Amino acid sequence: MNEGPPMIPAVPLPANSHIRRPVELKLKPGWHFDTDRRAFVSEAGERVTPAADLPKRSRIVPTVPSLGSADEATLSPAERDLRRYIQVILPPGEPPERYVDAIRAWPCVEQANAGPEISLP
Amino acid sequence: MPDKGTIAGIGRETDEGYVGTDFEAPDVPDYVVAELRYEAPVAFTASRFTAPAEAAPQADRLNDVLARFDIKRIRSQFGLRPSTVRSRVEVAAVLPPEPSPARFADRGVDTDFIHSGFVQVIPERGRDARPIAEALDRNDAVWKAYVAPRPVPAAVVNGSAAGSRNFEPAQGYLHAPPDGIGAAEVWSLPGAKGMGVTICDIEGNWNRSHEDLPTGIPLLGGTVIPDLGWRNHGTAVLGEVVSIPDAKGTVGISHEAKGAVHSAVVNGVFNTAAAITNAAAALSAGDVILIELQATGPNGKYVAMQYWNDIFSAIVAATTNGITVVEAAGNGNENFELAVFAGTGLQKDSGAIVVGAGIPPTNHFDNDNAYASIGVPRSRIWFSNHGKIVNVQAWGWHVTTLGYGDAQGGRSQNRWYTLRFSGTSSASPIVTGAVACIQGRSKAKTGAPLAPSQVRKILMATGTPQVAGPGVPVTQRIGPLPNLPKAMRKI
Repeated sequence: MNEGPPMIPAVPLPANSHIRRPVELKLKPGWHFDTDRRAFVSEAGERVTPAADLPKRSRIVPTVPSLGSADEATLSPAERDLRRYIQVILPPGEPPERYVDAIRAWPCVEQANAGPEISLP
Repeated sequence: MPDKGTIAGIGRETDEGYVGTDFEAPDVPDYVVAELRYEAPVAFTASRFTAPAEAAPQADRLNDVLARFDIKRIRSQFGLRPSTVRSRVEVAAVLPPEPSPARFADRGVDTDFIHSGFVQVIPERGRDARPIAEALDRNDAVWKAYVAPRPVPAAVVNGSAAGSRNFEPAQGYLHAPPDGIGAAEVWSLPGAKGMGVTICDIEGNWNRSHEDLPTGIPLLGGTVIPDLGWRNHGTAVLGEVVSIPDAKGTVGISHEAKGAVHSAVVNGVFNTAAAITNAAAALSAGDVILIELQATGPNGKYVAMQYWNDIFSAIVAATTNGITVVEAAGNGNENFELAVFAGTGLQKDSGAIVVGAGIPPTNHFDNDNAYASIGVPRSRIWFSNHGKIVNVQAWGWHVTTLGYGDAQGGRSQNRWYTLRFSGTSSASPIVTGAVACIQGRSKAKTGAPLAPSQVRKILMATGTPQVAGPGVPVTQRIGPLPNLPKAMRKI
């Protein structure tokens, strides 16, 4: 291959964008986040309270809120899968990598990772 | 010009549109761009215009202009090889006045020929640029000559006070296969300009006030990222698909489709899955979602967004509902077949049409003085990701569209144009436009859109095949370049 200039087209996120990277997690089947109780609750009645592992002013939100209230029977398999994803939005300055291991250890969590570092291709 | 508001990093919104305020002019000397008429059998060397004996007076008149000034250099605006420039003479000599490129494609009026007529005349003194342009503009062999506009917003007024130029001749991706996707060839078919189709672009910012975009492109949701780079990017993407067909600017591949946008920033964080799901909820079967994003993968290289499971599921959900999702493969020079990607979305079918970047016919770098090829047309460009999930390719370099201002600058960003949009970013909208043309045609012909899987199958089966280049075998798969004339026969 011809050697091109040492560059890869990409437009990074501007440094002053104030856009945070969340921790993204997928719940195990049968679990959901109860916003009133601020806790993860299973169909069997188990409960996981996440506040102790997170900094103050963290927010926990469904990744796709519009699916949260939908009738399960009307959802496609992909939508039912998508409904299990949750974002943990940390306060400004808190790196998501610091909290991934703790979140991954919650008994309700199937997988967790820091949100992707996004740019334009 | 009253201000309507200020956006940090972008500029002021005024009655003239967005006026940039806070970036510096590059140190670029003024030069002239002369566009030779298609039918003028004139070529050029580094110092003068040339022509065969029967057309020598035309070249002589151009050289008379040059003789009145100190000329530093003459070169191809598109960096074409001297042999390519010389070969235009033979094609031009047999053309009638003001020929239609599509009509004369079989006589050598291809992308190289069209681009070979763009000549940079660089004077020793920048102040000579304007009189040179004016003198060349009066010449019979020249369709238009002008001082190359600078991508500079403030202080320098240039480019478009009397109306923007027509950049359609530089949109080689519209041209007939194998150079382009053959969009212009199919537009005469009912519905094939994307009629009845809505395209939603998911990224972060757009100049929806651009003069060459239809009014009223809605922001379906999300928070716009106030950054000029992101703004130019989104504007360029929209221009490829829905810019207005008129005598100025560019023409979108699917210019009868409706545009829409959704920011990937939701609740102050990137949430591409929510953006896809929300956009899909606002669209109908037959519509198109374009994912113009990439992110850093496990090897530290950029990968396609469907690597992340929530995004993969969101794409599956959208395509299940009949919405075609087009997704940039990303610019990481990454091989999606590596073991590290086993079991991830980079080795599974999400239903999306994943787009790689190929080398266009105008395959050179914009180096100062030397022609430097980037490789063989339709081979994988060095930065494009590749793998089995990459379905089709399109131009990843030198895409003419809206924004940036290197082709036409000026005070208002609403009149900015570029000749150099690139990456899987520039490739993906070309495929998106092709999808909208196919769905519009299907609706007009059969009353219903095709399933996303059918659209993908047609594009892959009818496209102009990927080719190998030095160091980039076809096993580094990016797929074929769409061929719309062939694709339309499958509907």
